Amino acid sequence: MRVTRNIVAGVLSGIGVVVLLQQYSVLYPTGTVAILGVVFGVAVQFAVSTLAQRRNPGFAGASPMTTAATAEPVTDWAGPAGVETSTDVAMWVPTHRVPSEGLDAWSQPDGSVPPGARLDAGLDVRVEQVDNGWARIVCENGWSGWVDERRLEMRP
Amino acid sequence: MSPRRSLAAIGFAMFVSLALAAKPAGASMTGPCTATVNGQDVAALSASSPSDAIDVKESDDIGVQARSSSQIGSYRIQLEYAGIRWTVAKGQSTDNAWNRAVKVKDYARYGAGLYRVHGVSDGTSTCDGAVLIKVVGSPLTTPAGLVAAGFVVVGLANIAATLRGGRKAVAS
Repeated sequence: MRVTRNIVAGVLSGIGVVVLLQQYSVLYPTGTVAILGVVFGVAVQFAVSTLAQRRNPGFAGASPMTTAATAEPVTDWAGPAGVETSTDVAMWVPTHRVPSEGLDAWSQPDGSVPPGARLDAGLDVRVEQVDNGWARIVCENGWSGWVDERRLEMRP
Repeated sequence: MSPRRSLAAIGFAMFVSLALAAKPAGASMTGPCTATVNGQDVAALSASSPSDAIDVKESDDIGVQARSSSQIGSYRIQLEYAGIRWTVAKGQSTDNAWNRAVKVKDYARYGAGLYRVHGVSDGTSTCDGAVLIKVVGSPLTTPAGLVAAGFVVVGLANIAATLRGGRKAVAS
């Protein structure tokens, strides 16, 4: 959905800019210029979307960094009673919150590699699994990653 | 697409745009002909540089004249926009010259700005002369300008929505 929206907005804005430049007599639109305008417009839309996603992994519409579970679910995890451990976004209920200093996230539970994203302070997350001090969290939009379980705050 | 790739794509698009924009203006006349538009020699004008465009008003008529060293059969006047050409006037010549007046408002009623006009002669030799015409007017009062501005607003609105979505997630 977001991809389609970015393409449509990029194509329209690219054409719009080229036509406005022509209308204001700044540029004569050859076929090449028109195509470049469209490509540039689409590139800008995707760049903004990607940068926003990188800076705020929990923002609506972000693509999941990973959806594959690499560890077995922990059945004795002491989460809130009655909360189901489901990855279905429609069933998403937050269980924890990112601490005030923010939190690094990885695509895999492996601290030997640099974190792939930084979660913003106060972001609500749902813990799906814990594995040897790591917690696989899922954001409201379905984005998931691994974080240091000990640093997550329980929701009030 | 990663941020680095996105920025690289934008940089590449800008580089190609600048490279193409910096390309020397092509010849505006091909074939053994001479031509004038509103009395100005087409061969002396670039067909791609806005600074060489001939200023006209929407209410004006453009006078196009051509002369060849050989017999001219048919001729046509064409407009080109974004690489697409269409004929706005055509006729026959019985000797080696022709002239024709074209009403600007017949083809520029939807917008202002730059248009490329071609004068094409067929016959013993084929000639094609082109020049940029600048139709004077306020873009935001023309249908083409308003639609283009609307398209740009759509793009900006999508960017704003994307950024707002990110902030909302952080605040939640």
